[in-house]
Amino acid sequence: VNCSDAKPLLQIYLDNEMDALTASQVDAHLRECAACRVVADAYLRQDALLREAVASDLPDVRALRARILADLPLGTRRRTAVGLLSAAAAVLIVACGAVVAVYIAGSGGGPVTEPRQEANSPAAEPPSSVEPEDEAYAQATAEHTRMAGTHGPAPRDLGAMSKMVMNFTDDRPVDLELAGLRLVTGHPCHIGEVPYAHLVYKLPDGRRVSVYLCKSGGRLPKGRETLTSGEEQVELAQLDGRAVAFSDAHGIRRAVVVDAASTAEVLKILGTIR
Amino acid sequence: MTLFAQKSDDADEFARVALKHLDELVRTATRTCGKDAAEDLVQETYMRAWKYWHRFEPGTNCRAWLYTILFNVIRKRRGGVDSRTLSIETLELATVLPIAPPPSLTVSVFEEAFVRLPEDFRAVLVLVAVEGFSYKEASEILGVPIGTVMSRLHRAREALRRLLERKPSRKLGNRKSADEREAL
Repeated sequence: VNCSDAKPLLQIYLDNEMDALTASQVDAHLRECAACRVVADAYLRQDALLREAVASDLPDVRALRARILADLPLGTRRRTAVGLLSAAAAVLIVACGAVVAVYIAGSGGGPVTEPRQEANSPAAEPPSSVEPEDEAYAQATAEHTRMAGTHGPAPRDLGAMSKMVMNFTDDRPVDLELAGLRLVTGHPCHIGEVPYAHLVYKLPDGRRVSVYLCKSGGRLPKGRETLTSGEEQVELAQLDGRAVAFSDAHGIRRAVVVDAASTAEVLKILGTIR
Repeated sequence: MTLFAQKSDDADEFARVALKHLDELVRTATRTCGKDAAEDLVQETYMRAWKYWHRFEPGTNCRAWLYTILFNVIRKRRGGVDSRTLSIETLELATVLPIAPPPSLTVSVFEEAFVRLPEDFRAVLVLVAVEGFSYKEASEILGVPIGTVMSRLHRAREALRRLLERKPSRKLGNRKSADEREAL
């Protein structure tokens, strides 16, 4: 192979699209021929610059990802990604008799409005998409770190998140979205050795509800042991001996539900806290 | 398993397998069709992909499958225009356009030259040189013979070289004379 043979083949050689025999001939020529090496280097540099140029200044795909997730039709009707996760979360409650800890993070300790009423309010934001806000995520992560201690893999990966949650399936899907809850973020985590799903919802009034779910193996936190490192807590309400709501010194409100039978029961707990 | 559970599993699988290619699809769509159109194109791609998800064979190349859908969407949106004719004409225009002298061969200058290429040329360049598809995969994605992929790729690279080569030469020429005038 001489230069006039090799030059037209260089780019195909560099694209790794050449048969082994010809490639070895071009390779041998390149080792001997400085001029062709210069050309090959220029080709490589052009592709490298191209890759760099193509990778720069790309749009943020988070909102697009949320829209795509929100468009995924599930079940017999179209569901949003919120529905996907929240329904699964509620299914989890129903299917597993799970330990469910619902945390209400209130800024000023104000009342939590009845979620079902908020869902029907004209002012309620449509719970149409996942909203991975940085600020919300940071808040959820800080809260999560304080409470759970250990992060699971792939935080912010709602795909993995949904997989984890959707492992719990049931033919009685119930929908927290109906309560006007809008999914902000979520990630898998552990409390102790027990895997949990951590979902953060936003109420129409802007306050956030942090929900930790586990399939099995979880247990109710007891008194000061609960997830807030021994700070003073006030018991707000009890419900049928199966759920307890607390508020701590930071205004974080929490309801603990055991063996919840339905979404309605979860909503009842949320209503109890106000 | 109930319908709900089955659908949920499908959606879960779709989100896991297909959505991980979102960044790449947006990158390719952005560079091929521009930022304004890219998001809509990719969203429509995923809508179609979900619609035909039952036809996707697990274990096969989901990325190439998604790219094929993306370029179907692009072709459909372009609507019946013979892209090859358009490309050749556009290329002729691109190569004779007056080009301002660049400060140096930086990424931004390179990008400026890249966007002057016709859409078909950008597409094949991105698919092969950036996204790493083989000629054969690119031919399937673009729905053209492999020979067309190779010729487009060759011409695209040549066009890019010509565009880039013209810039420094103009720059040097202009600057030199300007400097000389200043010196005088």
